[in-house]
Amino acid sequence: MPLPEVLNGLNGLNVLSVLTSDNFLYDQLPTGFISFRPDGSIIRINQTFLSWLEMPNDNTVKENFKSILTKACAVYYTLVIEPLLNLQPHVNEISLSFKTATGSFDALFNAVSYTNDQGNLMLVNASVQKITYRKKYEAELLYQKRLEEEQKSKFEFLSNTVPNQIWTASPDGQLAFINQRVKDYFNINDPAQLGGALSVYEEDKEKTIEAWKSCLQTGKKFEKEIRLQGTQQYPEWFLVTAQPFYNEQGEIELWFGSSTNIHKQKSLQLANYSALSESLTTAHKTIDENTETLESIAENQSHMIRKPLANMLGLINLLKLESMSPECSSLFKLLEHSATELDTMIKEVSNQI
Amino acid sequence: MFAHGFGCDQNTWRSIIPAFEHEYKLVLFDYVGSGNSDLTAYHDDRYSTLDGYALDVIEICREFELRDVIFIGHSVSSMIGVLASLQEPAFFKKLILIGPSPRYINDQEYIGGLDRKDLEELLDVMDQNYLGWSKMMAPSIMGNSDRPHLAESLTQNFCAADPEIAKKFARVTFLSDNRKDLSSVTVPSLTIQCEDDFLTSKSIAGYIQQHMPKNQVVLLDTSGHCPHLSDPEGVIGAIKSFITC
Repeated sequence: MPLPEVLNGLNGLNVLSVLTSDNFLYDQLPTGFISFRPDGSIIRINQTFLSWLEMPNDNTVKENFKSILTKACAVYYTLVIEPLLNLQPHVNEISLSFKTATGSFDALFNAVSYTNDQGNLMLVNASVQKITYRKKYEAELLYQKRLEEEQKSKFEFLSNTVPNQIWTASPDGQLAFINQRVKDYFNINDPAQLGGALSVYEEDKEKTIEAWKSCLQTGKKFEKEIRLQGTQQYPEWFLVTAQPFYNEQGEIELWFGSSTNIHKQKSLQLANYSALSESLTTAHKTIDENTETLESIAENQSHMIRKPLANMLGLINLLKLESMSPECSSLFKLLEHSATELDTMIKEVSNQI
Repeated sequence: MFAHGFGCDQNTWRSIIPAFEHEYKLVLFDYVGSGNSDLTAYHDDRYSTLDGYALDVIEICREFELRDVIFIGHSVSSMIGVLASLQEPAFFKKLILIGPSPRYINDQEYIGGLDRKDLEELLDVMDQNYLGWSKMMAPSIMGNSDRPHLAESLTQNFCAADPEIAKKFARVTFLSDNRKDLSSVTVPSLTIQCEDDFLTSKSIAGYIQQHMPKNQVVLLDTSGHCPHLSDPEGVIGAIKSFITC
């Protein structure tokens, strides 16, 4: 920067002396300085600040501090910063916008307040740092933040429209987000209140924690039918699933989970198993009973049939002693063969029983 | 009962309290989302209008079995007190409204002081001061480097109020319109108005006096929106003469 004209003709030492003098530094440093009373009336303002405000280079400004702020900033200053300066001796890094003749500029505001013996505010000394370029980055950050919030609220809206319990968990398994259905089911407002596995029914807890830990370590999908204990008296069956979401670096960023209430289906299934098992037991019992009856009948019948057959065989043996015509002898042999065959058959049936 | 305004908490009353603490039973509180309040108690539905905040005041009265309450509300709390008195008039003996406004946004011939654009810009300013590069830059640009304990103080103060709730509170505050409620108030009231207040004005104080029965106005020869901080003696004097008459 070239030297101010007023310094022309001075020797080197004198120039340095002027450039580092209190007055020069106060007025020319690239920082705005301002002093004002509690009512905002400006007592002193430096040249740098005046040039930013596009005001004449005259320290005797009649403006009020609030009148050089944009309206929204003046309201903010009135509501938030002014009370703070009454309550504490300083404020730092407040983002404010100042009006100029042609528009406005953004700045960071740092101030120290001084009070009298009664504790009443007497004076505010402040510095103002122009942040026009920084402001652009800040605006970008703010835009990204809003975008993120918008996406978050869209996700939350969507998650509340589905009938499932929707939740997300951090890579270490801590719940990060729960949808309204989770909040309603457990009567809570904050994921931290759920206490992770505390909501799982006691009997299912150990196996659930074991499976969940395994999924967290391996990144495999979690899927399990477990009972959850909500606000009602009895636990209900849920199909709980969770899948990892990987970021661009290939690391798990979040787990997206859903819990579907399957209590009715599960109860019905369990009831059907129970009924089927009972039916099978009854059927087995009936078969056993029938078999026993059949055995008894078969045994009785075989005895009943065998008794006349034994008589017949005895009579056949007696007839062998009698003389018979060739024709009778031939018929006798057929009779003996048939009787013997019937006896063998009855014996076999009897043995099988 | 002392009810703080937007942007503050109960510490705002520290210059006023000593004048009353020996003669009166004092109740101070932070609204949900301000000061050291329980942030989990905030529900969008309840606090989407000033009625939710008025309900807080009524619940405090019920909890502590308070009757004949002298309600002292600053800024937006003035209208919260008005709403509470409409819901439970028997709880309140007198209302003291410091810098009140029944509506901040201009509406045809009514001059509230702000328009919608101002409000949106105000919310932007709030955003910028909760998420700005200032928070990410480590050292301060000037001063206080020798007093680092002070440097954190403001951040702590801001952090005490939840930024999201503060923004919602700002929106509820500045979009409220309680002009129609004024005529129904039966509790005697006092408006304390600064001569030079950026946010409200003598004309707004006059509007309230004109529309609210049993309302009187005291003008303080001070500037700003927080006379209880800038002119505590004036505020104490006005309160005492009103509650003892």
